Amino acid sequence: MALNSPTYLAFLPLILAVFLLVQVRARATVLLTASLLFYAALGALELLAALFVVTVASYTAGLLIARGQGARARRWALWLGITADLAVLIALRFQTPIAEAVNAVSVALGFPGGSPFPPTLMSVGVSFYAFQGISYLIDLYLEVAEPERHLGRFALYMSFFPKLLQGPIERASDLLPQLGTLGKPTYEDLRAGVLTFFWGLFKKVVIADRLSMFTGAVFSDVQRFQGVPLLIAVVLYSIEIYADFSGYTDMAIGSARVFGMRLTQNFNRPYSATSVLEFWRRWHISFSRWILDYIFKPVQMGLRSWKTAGTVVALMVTFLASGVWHGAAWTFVLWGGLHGVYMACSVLTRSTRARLLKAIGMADSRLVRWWRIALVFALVSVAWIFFRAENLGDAFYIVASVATQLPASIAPSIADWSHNLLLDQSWREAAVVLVSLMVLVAAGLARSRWNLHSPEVFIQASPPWVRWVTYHALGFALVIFPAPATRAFIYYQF
Amino acid sequence: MKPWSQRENEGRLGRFAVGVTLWLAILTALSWGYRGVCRAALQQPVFGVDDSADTLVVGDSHPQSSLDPAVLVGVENVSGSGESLFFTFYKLRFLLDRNPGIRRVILGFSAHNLSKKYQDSLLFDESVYPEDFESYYTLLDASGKRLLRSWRRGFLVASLKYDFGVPIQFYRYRPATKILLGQEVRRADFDWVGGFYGSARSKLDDEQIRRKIKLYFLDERGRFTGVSDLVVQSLRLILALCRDRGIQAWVYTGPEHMRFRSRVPGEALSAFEAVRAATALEFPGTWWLDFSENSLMDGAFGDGDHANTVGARIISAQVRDRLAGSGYGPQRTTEKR
Amino acid sequence: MQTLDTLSDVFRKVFGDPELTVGPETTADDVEGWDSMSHVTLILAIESRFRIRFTQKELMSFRRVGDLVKSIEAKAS
Repeated sequence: MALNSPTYLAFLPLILAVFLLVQVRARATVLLTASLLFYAALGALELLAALFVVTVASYTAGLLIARGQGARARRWALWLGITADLAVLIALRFQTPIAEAVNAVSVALGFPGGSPFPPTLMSVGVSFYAFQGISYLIDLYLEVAEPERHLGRFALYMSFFPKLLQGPIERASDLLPQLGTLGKPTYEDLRAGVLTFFWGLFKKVVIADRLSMFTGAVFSDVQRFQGVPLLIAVVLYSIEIYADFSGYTDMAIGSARVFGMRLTQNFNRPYSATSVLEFWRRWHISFSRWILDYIFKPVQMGLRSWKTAGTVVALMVTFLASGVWHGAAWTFVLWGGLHGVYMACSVLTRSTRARLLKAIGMADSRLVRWWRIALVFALVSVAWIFFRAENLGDAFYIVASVATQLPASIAPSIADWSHNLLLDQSWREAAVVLVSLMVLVAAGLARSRWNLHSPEVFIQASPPWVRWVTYHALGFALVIFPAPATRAFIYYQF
Repeated sequence: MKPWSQRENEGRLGRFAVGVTLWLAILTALSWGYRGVCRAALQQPVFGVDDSADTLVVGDSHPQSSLDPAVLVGVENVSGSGESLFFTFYKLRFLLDRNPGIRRVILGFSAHNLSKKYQDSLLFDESVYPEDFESYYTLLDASGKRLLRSWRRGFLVASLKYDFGVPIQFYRYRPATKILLGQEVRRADFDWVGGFYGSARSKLDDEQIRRKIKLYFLDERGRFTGVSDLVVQSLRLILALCRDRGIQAWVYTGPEHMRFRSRVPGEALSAFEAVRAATALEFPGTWWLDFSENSLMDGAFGDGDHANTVGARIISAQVRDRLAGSGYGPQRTTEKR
Repeated sequence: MQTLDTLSDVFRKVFGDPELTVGPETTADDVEGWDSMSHVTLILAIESRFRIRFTQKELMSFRRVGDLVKSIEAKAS
């Protein structure tokens, strides 16, 4: 079931009630059973099989690494485990290219075409827990984490339902200890968890789904638009994917919190970043830490004799891998490659830029800071074009049109504003978008102004009337202003 | 972790209960208000047709695109694209109640109106026209709602909104928003009203025809899934309504191009004939106009199963002549042109 | 001790801070500028000064200066 479905809204309190009523020893079992039921509810046998394989492979390889005598044995265990996890990931996520390749080869060899299995298997969640398994194994190998000997607890570590479908990717040292000491959640846990959950639901159901009406109108048929409307759609999509994915993450974190568990932060005001480097420390944090620790650092260190060139190569490899992880399409590869280029340029020109700013005395200027934030937003948005476009042709069309037709399209856009400015959507929905975006901005400003970096702090720092108004307003917003059609989470497809 | 204390918990539970009750109270008040506004919207005196009109055209996109009120005399076309016959009954009854001067009803009825697959998608799935479902819901009575009842989101939202007044996306119901803003409500604000819609273009595309046939008649395995009982029932209700009010009913089958017609599954056509025969027996006073087989040229069709403005003018002229030359007697005529 | 002093000297040269001293518990967060690029420069400088080469596994498991010291001394013996 999806986190934003009515079924889940019934499922979560039910599981919580059972959790609170059973003995301490049975709590992990309750959560594991709930997680497996949660995954089974998707109705896909291949998913349960994938989870089973990844869990058993990682658990076994983990024990072999921990008990291994000699560096060679441990290395073998590590690579076997990683291969198993990657194999499952690739098999399910790259079904179509694999099936096509198998087909092409068999036809070339003279056999009749037709792939052995139909490429319509689901793969939701696999990318996330396969990566989590790999991180567990590597951390064991590097001896920065303890192996989990209890299979049930390990299975729960892999399948814990709040994070099962779209992460965050949890490090062994973060989540495993918590699973060993499942106590009763405190009142603060419940309050913070519920508030986080509903705030995430608000971002998803009121903001992201509504924005997708606008962006979907453009991205599904880009040739109907030139210039200004494309720019609007791109900006709106940058906001949409943030609201969608951080909304999901908040729902996941909130769900875990009501059981007294803390999942890792996945977003930290990403569009306030002043460099692409910083952006990746604030966006999909669990994933970018994964590629940083397990791809970038080893490659960079391995190529350290190449000095700066080595770092550039490491960046490109890392971000191309990131693109491929997101999907078997050239648009994702280009998206990753773009970020690699951004990072490389940033690293290469960093000292020059710093010296330049110092020379003109603007090193700490607020103007420079805002300029950088705007620039990063623009760069990241250009990359999102490739992420969202249905194919490369559409993506290039958008880039070309915005680059060349923008000034010429201003007049016709104002003339035919319902097509070009409202993107063929109702002005009422646009009005709701505007207000909800103001709420988002206000929340962000409140966070930085009053240091309300988490719902807990908000709850503790605010007077009761502020809290009550917030709870009530959230409740009404969710009832009155959900977007007209529900959509799956964007990161559900990864 | 602080241990839970009994007294603290009682205090918290109490405050929580107060908070939730307060929220529910506010929601109930808002709902009560919105429900009143929605009721008031349907009471608006804007549903009268033109004084000179004594004939209503109802149905889906087929009569909508092919019966031009500019050519026909004394006719008001209120057909809506994608309208299931199930909804047409309630819409017709609503309009007849407010227009006692109507003497004739022309009802669009073709093979696809009977097809279970298509009608079910309009009534139980809203996958084709999701927004229309809510709009037609306002016209249903209790028995109608009972027939459509299910747990799916579309039905729940419509029921919460219009039965209980919960202001879910309240701004999307234009008549209510206009009343709230003190603006004048017009007939066109109601999405279910419909009207003649003529398209000037003409494109006969076999791929598009194939997709239409699949949409109307075939399941994933390419089989015809049978007739919708709800629609047959609705057809009888409509004809009974006309008969009871002394209104002459014409059942009109719109023009279809040969390339479309030849692809309609044989079972669908024979089912259609069977229903027509049965209905003609039960309602002998009904007149039948069948333009499904016709000699219209390619340029008269907007697509495989819809006439464009050119075709509409031709067909409407023929219908006009038939209406002018007819009495109100119980003759049963099947016209094939 | 000697290794730590030499290390501090390398740090000072790499980060251009003559006041800088590091202890066994110093981590990347404590030393300003110790991020991806300067980490590489630092490791290269250390390897060159002590005439050693770290393995991939060691490099990935260094968390504090104390880990560096242990590894250097293990290689010296």
